[in-house]
Amino acid sequence: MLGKPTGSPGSGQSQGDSGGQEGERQRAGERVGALTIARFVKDDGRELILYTRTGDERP
Amino acid sequence: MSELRFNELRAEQIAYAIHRQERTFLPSAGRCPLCPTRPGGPETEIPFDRFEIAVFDNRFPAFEQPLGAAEVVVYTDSHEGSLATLPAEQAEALMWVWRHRYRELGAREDVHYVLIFENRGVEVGVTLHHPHGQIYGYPFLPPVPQLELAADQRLQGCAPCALLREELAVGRRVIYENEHVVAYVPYAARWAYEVHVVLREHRPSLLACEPAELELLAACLQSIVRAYDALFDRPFPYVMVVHQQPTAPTPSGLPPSGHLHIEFYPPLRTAEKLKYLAGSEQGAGTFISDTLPERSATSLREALARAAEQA
Repeated sequence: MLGKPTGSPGSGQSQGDSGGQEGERQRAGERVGALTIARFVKDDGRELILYTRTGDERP
Repeated sequence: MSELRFNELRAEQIAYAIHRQERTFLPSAGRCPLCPTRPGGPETEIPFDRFEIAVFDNRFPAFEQPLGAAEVVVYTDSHEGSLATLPAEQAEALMWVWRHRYRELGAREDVHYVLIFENRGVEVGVTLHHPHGQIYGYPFLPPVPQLELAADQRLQGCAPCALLREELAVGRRVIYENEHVVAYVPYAARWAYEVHVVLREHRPSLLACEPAELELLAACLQSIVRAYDALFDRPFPYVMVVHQQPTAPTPSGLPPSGHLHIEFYPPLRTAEKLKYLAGSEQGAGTFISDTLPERSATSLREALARAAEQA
């Protein structure tokens, strides 16, 4: 079982790292390049992060 | 929790992670913990019926907070395949995932060095066949990046930049080039088919790369693995390591330098024979190789051409 995601895949926000030099860390509506980031917490406290290419609704 | 002990004779840290003895060992495909969770099947590490790229904290970590990190990077939800067989856009996405993990782990106070790597094949100790890599966040600067920093000082500049210039000038050991990336068998390779993949421009880490560089870095890595697989017409075992700038001040207090490059260490010296680290390598730290890098480069260029024909 997983806790709730702390980021939403495919949210469409564009405040993430889009290339070039260092960007700041992002949380809500996180993106990196063309990827959206969804974070989950497992029952034992371990983090699971899913990276999905923009435009793909998975998972 | 792992325990660190300093080995005085080798001047190196040893990490004792005794819980790793219990880690999953070569499960059947139906019990793979890196596959998606199938309806009616056991819950895997990724409880979704499909995904693109997943990263999670290693269940059997060598390092963990507050003394480092250990993560697993699952390249695809397909149990079969390899880095070489990923769609090009998926391999490019993997470069962005690496970059993101380097940035996030490197920002932590307890992580001094981020090591992204892949072990492929039972010959190098793989315990899960599903295409994946790992990331360790070390709570200290390990010996290899310390040696790389020393090489920068010895060569009075960026050592990977200097070595790349030399390899391009000589040319005989270069096996692949594109606009942003070069791959070559190094002049003093330790392993018979060792390959180094280097950005043409000085980039301390993935964070400094332009998007086009990440795209062509992925293309280069895929080409190298395809060449390896074509070399002996078999899945080619290797250890692949991403070398980047340390993420904390160096022990000497000097600002950390570094140049992003990827090194492949394949244990095969022929189609059937492994190179073992034996007396000289373990006792003296001196590699004895029975293959000249120039000859290996020729073989790998031919294998690369065969792989391109088959694609």
